[in-house]
Amino acid sequence: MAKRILIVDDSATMRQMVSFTLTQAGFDVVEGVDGVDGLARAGQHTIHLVLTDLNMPRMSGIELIQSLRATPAYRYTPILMLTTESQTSKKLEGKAAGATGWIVKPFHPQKLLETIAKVLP
Amino acid sequence: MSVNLLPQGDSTLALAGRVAEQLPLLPILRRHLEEMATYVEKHVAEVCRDFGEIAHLATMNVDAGEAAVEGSGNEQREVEKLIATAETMLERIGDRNQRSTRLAADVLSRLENTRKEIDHLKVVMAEVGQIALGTRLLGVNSRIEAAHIGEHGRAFATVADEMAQLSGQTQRVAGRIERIVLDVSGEVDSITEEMASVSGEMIDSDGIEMVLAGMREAHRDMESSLRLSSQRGRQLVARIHSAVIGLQFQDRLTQRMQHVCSALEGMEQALSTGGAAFNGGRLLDCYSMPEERAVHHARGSLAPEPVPTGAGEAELF
Repeated sequence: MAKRILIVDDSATMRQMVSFTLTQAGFDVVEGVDGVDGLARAGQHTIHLVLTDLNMPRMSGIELIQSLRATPAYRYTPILMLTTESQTSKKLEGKAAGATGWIVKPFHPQKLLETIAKVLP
Repeated sequence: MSVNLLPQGDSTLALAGRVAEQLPLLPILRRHLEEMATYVEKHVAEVCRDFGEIAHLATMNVDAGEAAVEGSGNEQREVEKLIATAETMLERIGDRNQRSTRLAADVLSRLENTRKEIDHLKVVMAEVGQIALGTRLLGVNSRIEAAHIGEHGRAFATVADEMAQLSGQTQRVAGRIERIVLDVSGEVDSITEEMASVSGEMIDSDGIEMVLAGMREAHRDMESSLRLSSQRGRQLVARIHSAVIGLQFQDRLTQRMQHVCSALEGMEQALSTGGAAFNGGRLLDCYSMPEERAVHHARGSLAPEPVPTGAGEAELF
């Protein structure tokens, strides 16, 4: 069975591009338009990995990670941040919230898949 | 960064009036930018979706091509088997052809010999006829001579009669043999003709072999074309993938437009309510992408900072 990845980003194009890369690589993809939607999707599906943006309306990526980590089912699920932010302070904030890793946009498909392969159980 | 908006020789009041005139334009500009960002995002998303569908179709095409190549490989093996079987059969047919040709030549040669023997027999039969005729003449002459010598020649006349009868019998037998020889000769001629005809109708195995080789080559060409088509399909999918990823510029564009909109909003508030002075540095701080920050640091507007992680780089905690 294909692994399912949740993509959370307020940019429709980014969601489509990431989704395109992942489906081409054989993953199942679920999309969320912001943190609130992403959290709801995570409750509806069994998610094996989460890819989230940082700055989003309603609920940011950091808040989403905190909420997911507070949920027993997602305590150990890999969560990668895919964001334009590359400042150390932001990274530390993500790490403290429980993120598994950090990928800087614009992403390279191969690099994204390699990083996912490293953390996917 | 503070901005000096006061031109030389102009009064502050006049300047404040002109700024107040321009203030209503700021929300309009902001709305235009927001609409532009939404418009660009919507259309890039559509292009992205179309590319995705094209890539999906191309991938299906590649899969179908590869399946056909795989199927073609199995068919190729089947065709090779069939051709090998056909070649073995052709070899056997060729051997039989050769044996039949040799046999036909041998039969024709024997028939020729038989014809010669028959011709010789005809000569012999002609000689037998001559002997029978000579014997008959001898019998007739003997009877004449026996009549000349009267009573003493009676026994000789009996012998002469026997000779005449023997001659007659010999001629009759010779006649029958001649008819049989003629019949046999006719049969030999007919068989010779038929054998010559049959030996000319042997199977053309070379022609069939050429057809089989052509079939094999055509099948290989077809398989090669399928492989090439599949390879080009994969290249197409890779190019589409690359093109889709290239559309990430939209995300950056939208983000920068949002930053400019926020800055315009701040500027409007600062100018209209007399709040905190507009700080351009705040806008520069919004450039979160590594390349953009590097550019602004290089321009000297901000203090140097450590080289940020490059685009696409990943870090695991």
